[in-house]
Amino acid sequence: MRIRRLSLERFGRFEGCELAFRSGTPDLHVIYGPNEAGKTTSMAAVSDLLFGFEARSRYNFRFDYPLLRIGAEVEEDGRSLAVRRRKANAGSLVDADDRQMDEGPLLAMLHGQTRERFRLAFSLDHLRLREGGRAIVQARDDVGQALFAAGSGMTDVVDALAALEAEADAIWAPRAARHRTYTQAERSFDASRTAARDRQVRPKAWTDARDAHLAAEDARCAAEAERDALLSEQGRIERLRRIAPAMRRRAELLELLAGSADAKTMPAAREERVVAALDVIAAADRNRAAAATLHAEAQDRLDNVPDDAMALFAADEIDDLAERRGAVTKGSTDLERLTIERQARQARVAQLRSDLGLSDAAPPARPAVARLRELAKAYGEATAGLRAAAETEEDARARLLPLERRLADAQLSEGLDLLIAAVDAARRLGDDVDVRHAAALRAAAEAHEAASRALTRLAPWTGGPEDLERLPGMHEDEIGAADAELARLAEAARIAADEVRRVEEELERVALDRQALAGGGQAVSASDLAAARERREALWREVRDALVGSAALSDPAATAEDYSARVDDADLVADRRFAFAADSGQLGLLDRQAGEVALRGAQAARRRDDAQAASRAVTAAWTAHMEGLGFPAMEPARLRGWLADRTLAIETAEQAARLSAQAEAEGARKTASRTALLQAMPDWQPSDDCLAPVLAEAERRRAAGEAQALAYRQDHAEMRQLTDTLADLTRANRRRGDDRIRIEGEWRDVQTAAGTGFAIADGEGVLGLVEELRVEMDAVEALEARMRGIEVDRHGFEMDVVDLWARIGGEGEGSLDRLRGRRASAGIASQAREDLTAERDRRFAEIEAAAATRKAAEDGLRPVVEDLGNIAIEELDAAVQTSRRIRGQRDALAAVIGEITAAGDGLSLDALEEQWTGSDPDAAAARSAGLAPLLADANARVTAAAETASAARIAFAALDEHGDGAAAAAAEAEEARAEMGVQAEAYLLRRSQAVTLRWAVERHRRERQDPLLARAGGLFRRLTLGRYSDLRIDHDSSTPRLLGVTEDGSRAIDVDAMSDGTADQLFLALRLAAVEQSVEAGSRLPFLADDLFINFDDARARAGFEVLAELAGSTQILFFTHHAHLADLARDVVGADLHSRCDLDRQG
Amino acid sequence: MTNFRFLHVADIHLDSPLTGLARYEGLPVDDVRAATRSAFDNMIDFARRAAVDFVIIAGDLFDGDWRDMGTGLYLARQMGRLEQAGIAVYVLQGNHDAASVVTKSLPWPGNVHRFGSRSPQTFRIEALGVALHGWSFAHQAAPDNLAVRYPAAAAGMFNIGVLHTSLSGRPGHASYAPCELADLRSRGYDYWALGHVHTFECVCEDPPVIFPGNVQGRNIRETGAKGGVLVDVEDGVISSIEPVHFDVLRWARVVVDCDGCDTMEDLQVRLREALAAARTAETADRGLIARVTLSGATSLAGTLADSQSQLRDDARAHAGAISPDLWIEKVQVRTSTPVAAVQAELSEDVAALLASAARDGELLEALAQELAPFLVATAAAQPPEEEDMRHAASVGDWSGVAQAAASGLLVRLGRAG
Repeated sequence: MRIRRLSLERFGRFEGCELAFRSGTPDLHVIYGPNEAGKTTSMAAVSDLLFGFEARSRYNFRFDYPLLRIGAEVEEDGRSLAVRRRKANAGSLVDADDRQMDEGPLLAMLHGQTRERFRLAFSLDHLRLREGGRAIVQARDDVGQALFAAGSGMTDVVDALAALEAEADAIWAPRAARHRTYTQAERSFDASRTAARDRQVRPKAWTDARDAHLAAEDARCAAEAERDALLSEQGRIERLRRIAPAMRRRAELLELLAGSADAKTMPAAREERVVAALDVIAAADRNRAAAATLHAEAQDRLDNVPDDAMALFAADEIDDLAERRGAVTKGSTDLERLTIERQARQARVAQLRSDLGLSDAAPPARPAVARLRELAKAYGEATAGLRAAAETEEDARARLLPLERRLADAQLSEGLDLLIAAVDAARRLGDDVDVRHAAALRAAAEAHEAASRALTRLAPWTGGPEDLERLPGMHEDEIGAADAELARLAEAARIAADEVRRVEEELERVALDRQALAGGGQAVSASDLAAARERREALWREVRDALVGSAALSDPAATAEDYSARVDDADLVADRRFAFAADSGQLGLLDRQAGEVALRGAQAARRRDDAQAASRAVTAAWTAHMEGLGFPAMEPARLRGWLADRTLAIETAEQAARLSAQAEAEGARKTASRTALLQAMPDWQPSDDCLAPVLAEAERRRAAGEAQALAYRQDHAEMRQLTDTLADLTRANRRRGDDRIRIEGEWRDVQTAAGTGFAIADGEGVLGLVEELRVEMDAVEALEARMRGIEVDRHGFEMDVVDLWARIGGEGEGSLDRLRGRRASAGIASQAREDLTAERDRRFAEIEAAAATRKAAEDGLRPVVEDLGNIAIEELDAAVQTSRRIRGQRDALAAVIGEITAAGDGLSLDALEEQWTGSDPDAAAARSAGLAPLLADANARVTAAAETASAARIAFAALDEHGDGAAAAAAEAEEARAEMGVQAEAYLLRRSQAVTLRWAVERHRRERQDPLLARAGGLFRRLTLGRYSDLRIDHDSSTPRLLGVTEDGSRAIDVDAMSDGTADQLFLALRLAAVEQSVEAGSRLPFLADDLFINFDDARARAGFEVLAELAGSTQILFFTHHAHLADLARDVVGADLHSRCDLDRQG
Repeated sequence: MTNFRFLHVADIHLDSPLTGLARYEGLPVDDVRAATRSAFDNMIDFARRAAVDFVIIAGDLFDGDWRDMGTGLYLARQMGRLEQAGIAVYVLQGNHDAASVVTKSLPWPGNVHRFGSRSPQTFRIEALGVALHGWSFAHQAAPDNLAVRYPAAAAGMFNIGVLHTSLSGRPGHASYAPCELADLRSRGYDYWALGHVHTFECVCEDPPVIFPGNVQGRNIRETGAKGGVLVDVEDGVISSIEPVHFDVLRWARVVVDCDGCDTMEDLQVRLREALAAARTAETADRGLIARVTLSGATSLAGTLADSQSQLRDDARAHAGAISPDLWIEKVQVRTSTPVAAVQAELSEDVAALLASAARDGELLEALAQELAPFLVATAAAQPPEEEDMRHAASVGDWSGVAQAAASGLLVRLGRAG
């Protein structure tokens, strides 16, 4: 599609502006306008025309939206379409009469392009060009993205991809993180779900709690009822018990009061006074009577008390005897005990004597016993030693027998030392000797190959490394001198040759000039004349020789004719020379010049030839010299290389020889070691020639042999040790036997001396008995001494008592008790007499005082006696008592009734009386005693049941406290789940976009890179006037880079190392290549370029126009600029005839 | 016969949460969380206020997998309120109740009569001359036709059949106790109180066979007013059947026609208008939760698909500005690119490359590999709807995923360029 005519009817600042673009190629049109002329507006107009007005168009500052119009005539493939565009949501395409048009034909021409695609791909201003350049630099870490950016017109694929990744990452990633929105929602979901579960009250838990609560309540009620019944019963019994005394008292009182209904009473105060007076009288009578009685008694007792003065005098002696009696009594007690002990010991002595067979003889003396004890001990030790030795010996012999058998059977392998030495030697070679040997062989082979290759490189020289080494050394100075000489000669030959060439050129020029002069046919040079004459003279010499007969002419007629022609020619030349003397002179000069030049040329040729000859001579000499020395014939320069190769070959050969030697040595060591091993194992054949298996087998055999030898040595050592032990035992037994015989002899001697006959075998026991016998006999003696002392003390005491009794005039047999009795009686009687005398006197005084008191009291009672009808004083007391009793009974009755009422638990007196009457006090008491524990139990049960019920009630009530917590948490979880859903959807979109973009970039790179890059490289070469020859992608660095290849191909420049202008050109090349691809693909839309060449110098701007003109062969290009010189440049490029230009400033 | 009135409800699903509604600033979370309870409260209040003689609950008091006794106790308390008002309740056990452990453990008040599950059971209210026939589900599954085994109508009584059924199949509802209308009619009852289907439906007028719907919509599939049916009977003849609404939050689908919409500003205007219209159209004084679906052919299609998160925020902001009782559940972009623009992607350039994305095996494999762990890790999220990308991914339709990604990407790259 192309635009034939653009009509800015009413748009922006334009009104009725017409831009016409002629047909034909190149379809390149420059639209020139200074700043503010409306270039941007015009470009926007093209977009708006093709795709409709933008919703918020900013080109309504002059005409309102409804008035805006853009018209155009567009064409494609011979079809033409006139359209106009107005601003409307629908039906914006209209015809000349503002009637709505079908958009189909226009859409078909747009080939499905959108405004956005058109802006990106077909509309390029300098800003976007720069952005594109920057995008390439920024995207240099990925050429694919850079090309994608260039191809798509996008500037920040990298940012777009990064943004997508970041957006996706902010939502979800395999590793959860707090900042991710999905993670947040998910955590909220998990927390809420857990809360919902935790806050739920399980039906089972609830029913269990409810049942428990109800059961506990029932249990509590039952316990309380039971307790209340007991309490009630206890209350009744308690009440009856409480009122029982009062009830009984009441009954008694009522009975008493009934019995004394007519008795006289008196006021309480008078009663008190009467009673007091009567008390005084009675007291006085009692006192007098008592005092009289006591007085008489005191006198009688005084008369009867005895007086014993003798006893009182001997009181101290009696006390002394009493003290002594204690010791005597204790002695008597001890005597009995001592007698028993003595009897026991005597019996033991008799027993021991009988056991020892001593009858009445004294036991052996202490030193003898001590000696006997030593002998018995020594004898026992010797006997025990003999027994132990016998056991040891038996044991040793038992062990010795199998050892001897084993040693006799042992077969020691022979040649073990040889094997051990071979194994040690093989081990010293190292575990990897086989591998090492193989490697050494390989290395040697490789080195030989390398040496052979190095020798081959020395061609054409042939021979072996020894031949090489035999070759003499070649000093660098010698080669350098020869090389320099050859170079000098070559240089001289080259200079001479150059001179020859220059001379030839000069001669050609002279010949040309001469031809120019001579070509007209007028000028004749002296040489021409001389030549013509010479030709004439030459023929004349032949003719003259014929004339003189010295020669014959083959064809005289022809010769004559030829001669006359040559004469004419010479004459003609002479004539012309004279006729055109000036030209001929010039020609002559030329000829002379030519002669000089030719001379110089000849000299130069000679120098050249000389130099070449000298060079050949030197070369030949050098070659002869070389061959003489045995080197191949070659130039000095090459010889240097050859010598280097020779050194290398020698070194390589040496290396090969060294490695071979090493391999051989290694092999020899290995073989020697292996042979030694095999010799030590003659019965064993290896499967290959490696050392390792042989060594392994040898080591196994060595280990076995060594183990066997070790076992043999150990057995041998043990046998020797056992033999020694047996010998030692025999010796020790002999010594012990001697000792025993000696001890027995001495034992018998001592026995004889002591007069006893104890056997040595039970010596220890017998000697113990002898010792005991001695101890017991000593103890019997001590006991008898003590018993005799006690008897003496008792006799002394009894004599003293009898003596004292006699002294104080005692009658009958005196004893200590009787003495003490008399002493006590005498003391008491003396004291009693003193006391009785004093009492007798005091009682008499009391009799007198009582008589006086009675008289006074009788006087006080006289008025009362008269009131009572002069009754006797003795009757007064009964009257008072009667009065007082009746009143007391009345008071008591009231108090008792009060008590009953108070303790009656509110029951009436009658009810209480009824209960009391019907009760059995004994049964009630028994029941009451039984109730207390029952009640305590019942109370405990109530308390326990109440606690259980309370706990169950609290637990049950707690279950209802959650309310709708679980439901709220479940709802919260649903909210979070919904958010998770939304976030997951968002993530999926972003991540799939990121994946798709990566894929698109890669796909684009793969598919488009090569053709696009090749085309862009070509365009870039042209735009940079060949300064850059191509574009290349450097895959060598870690990330691919887009590089510009310099003119000579020697350097590749990174984009960010290019100047602004070159970067602009690079991006333009990429963009134009992309546009070409789009156009080739069928999207032939006008390409709008807005001042793209700002950073281009004139030459490159020209190249830019050439490239655009070429593209304009396939699609229309509208080039907007405010630079007049660019417009002129475009004209130069396409030619005035084909140039198309619209000026906006003239159109507004 | 006397005059009486009763309330017929079903599918209470007490304390089952509303799904698909993500929390956001301004959303009355407390109301949302308590919605089923509030609706149930409304039902109880209404029954007391209207002085109904009895209430029929035709199944599904609870969600089957809900195990919180707190919910059951709450229900029992509410039943207690009806008891105080002297209102009997006839409860049929639905598929959810059969599975519910709460149902089994609950201390039912004395006014609640529960139909047995061994065989059909009849409750007679002699004072009103009413016979209620019902058969509770013994198990969660009820594949048999229960209706045909219901007893014949009691003579001289007003017969009500109570049944939890999907009849001969209802879209979106699993099949339970399947039966035909003819089976119901053959019983000769005066009224069939059905449950199970969550939308009000008068299946038949003579005799009335009615699904009252559930009492509170719980997700976007349960849009519109929810409640029960108030039935008045005079001298043994139904005099009126009136739907009554108890829901506290209502779900609505709001479709925004974006056809020909060229700018985002234009789109925002349409979005606001559509939301305002939806709020105005819902005259009841209840909260409204809207699912916004953008539809139509617009050049913004790609942009919209690429900025769903922003659109959700915008819609929430608009909703908040329009009414304090309007909230957004979700914004779905179902717009398409105009035909002309669709052809645009067919040329051999980058756009064409993206357009071919859906057919590129390499890309589809890369997508599957990259996103498979994600699908596994996010399995707990709200299940996707059929048009969602996630649905496509979950069924392995990577081509669909690539298609959606590429079209959004094209727009995004265009913007970025």
